[in-house]
Amino acid sequence: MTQEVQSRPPEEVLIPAGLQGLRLLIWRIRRTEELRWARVALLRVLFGIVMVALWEGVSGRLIDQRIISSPGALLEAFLDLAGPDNPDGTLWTHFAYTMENTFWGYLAGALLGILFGFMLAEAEVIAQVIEPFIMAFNGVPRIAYAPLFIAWFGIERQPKIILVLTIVFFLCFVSTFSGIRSVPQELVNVARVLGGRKADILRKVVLPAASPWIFSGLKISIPFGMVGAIVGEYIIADRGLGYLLQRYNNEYFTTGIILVIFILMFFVVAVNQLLNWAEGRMLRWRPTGQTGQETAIPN
Amino acid sequence: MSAFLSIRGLGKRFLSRGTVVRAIENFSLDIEEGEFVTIVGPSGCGKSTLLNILAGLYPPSAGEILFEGRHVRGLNPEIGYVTQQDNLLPWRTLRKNVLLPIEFRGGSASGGAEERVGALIRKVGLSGFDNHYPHELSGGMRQRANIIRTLVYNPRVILMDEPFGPLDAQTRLTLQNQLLDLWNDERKTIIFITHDLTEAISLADRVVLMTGRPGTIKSVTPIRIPRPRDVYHIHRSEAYREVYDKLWEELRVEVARVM
Ligand SMILES: Nc1ncnc2c1ncn2[C@@H]1O[C@H](COP(=O)(O)OP(=O)(O)OP(=O)(O)O)[C@@H](O)[C@H]1O
Ligand SMILES: [Mg+2]
Repeated sequence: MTQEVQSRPPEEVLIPAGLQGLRLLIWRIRRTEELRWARVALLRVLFGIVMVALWEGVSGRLIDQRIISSPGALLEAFLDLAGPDNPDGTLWTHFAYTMENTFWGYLAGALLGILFGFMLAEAEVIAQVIEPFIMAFNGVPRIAYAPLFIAWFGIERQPKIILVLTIVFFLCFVSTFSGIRSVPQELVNVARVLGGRKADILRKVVLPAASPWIFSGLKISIPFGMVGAIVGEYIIADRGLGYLLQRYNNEYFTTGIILVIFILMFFVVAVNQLLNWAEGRMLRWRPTGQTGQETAIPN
Repeated sequence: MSAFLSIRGLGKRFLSRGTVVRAIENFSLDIEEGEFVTIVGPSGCGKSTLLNILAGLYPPSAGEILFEGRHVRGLNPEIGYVTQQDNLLPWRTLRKNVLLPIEFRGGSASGGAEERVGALIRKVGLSGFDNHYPHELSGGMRQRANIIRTLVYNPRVILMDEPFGPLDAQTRLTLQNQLLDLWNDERKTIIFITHDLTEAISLADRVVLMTGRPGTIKSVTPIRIPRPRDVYHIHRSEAYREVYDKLWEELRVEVARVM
């Protein structure tokens, strides 16, 4: 916000009085950061429109519509799926099913992950003992466990929730653990000298110092957690976005597949935006430039 | 009858990469209540190690510390420690950082705490920065905050490890002056490490000169320059120059021995 602000607009007033107000307004806006931001936003929208227009133009003319679908077909499919007469539930049913599974798995995984991260960071020996086991379990792509989870937990929600849980657990566990490990020993020592007891130090020094790490774990867990839910549904389910993907795939219904992808995109972007905002508020103490970095969305 | 703070035959060895580093050896010093002692010595001679032991952050390998005649093991709540880095909590504002020891010591309920914090902040010229985060303060401001965070809970002994080390000359002098004022008002016992001989002389009742590693005491020099002292012009006084020359000669030998 370090901008010199002239107190009045330049005095070349040969403009009718009505326009004068408008001119003043434009002049004001131009002097603020908001305009820069508004311009970026405007260009983004334009970019989006151009891409969609290109897509529509190319589809069915240069490239077969069965391969790349088209925005029009997408909208049609969306309205159709959102409508009431669908054999196995509307778009909303599928969306809600996936999101509920993601939510419960995420909640449990995040809580357990953070808790374990804290406990193991404090327990040096145990951490060293079990580290290779954890890494081994985590190193295997989660989809490999899916059949096992289905065998153990059935074909309903449970295996999907568990799949999400294991993914989120590890991400949150690792980030919490390393966050706590990276708390500078000097800060802890100073707190001890200042009279802090163990519980005080944990609450007032260790937790806040580790919070940026914990936050980033929570953030990257969202898209990865969703992957878990969708993979689970893809393998076996009668509902959910993953189920839709699998069905459309069998039907060679490209438009449907792209539609599901778009729904996921919108959701992830929205949630990420929300978390950035929350993070920015909670970590306001950090020097600017460090808050609210965008988290890359894994594929 | 033992002194207020008595350090007896203190030694510290570190095992580092399979070799034993003798950081301090046979360090003995008696300090009176309200005394201002400064310690100088070549880099790596164990000054920070000495303060860490006095603060109770880790135990000595040999020797003992008596506080008012009693053995001290572990942290001593009567001892405050102003570390070389300011170590302010970055997520707390200046005011909340200074309040931290009071929160830890369960004194936040007593109404006096807020006033005392406010008074100290004013005293060191930080008014108006109460609600700034550490990254919004300059190095000198952070160091002042670091110092009053220790003063606020009134420990009877204050250890200071090169607190003005990274600061520019003017800020340094200003802070030395403020520290002398504070010390004058409250008469704490201060053990102050510095690598700046002038600083050591300006502030001290006694200057302790340490040898190179393993660090032990080479000389203890009483400074008889009358108080209150003018840190800005002390270098003009004859007494200062005499002491400075003597100490510099001793220190030079030690530094040459180490380097
Ligand atoms: N935790 C440790 N483990 C191993 N060696 C250590 C440790 N702490 C200090 N030492 C060693 O002890 C010696 C004294 O270190 P110390 O930090 O006390 O020196 P210092 O006098 O404060 O030096 P400076 O003036 O540069 O700050 C050094 O040789 C250092 O390498
Ligand atoms: Mg040191």
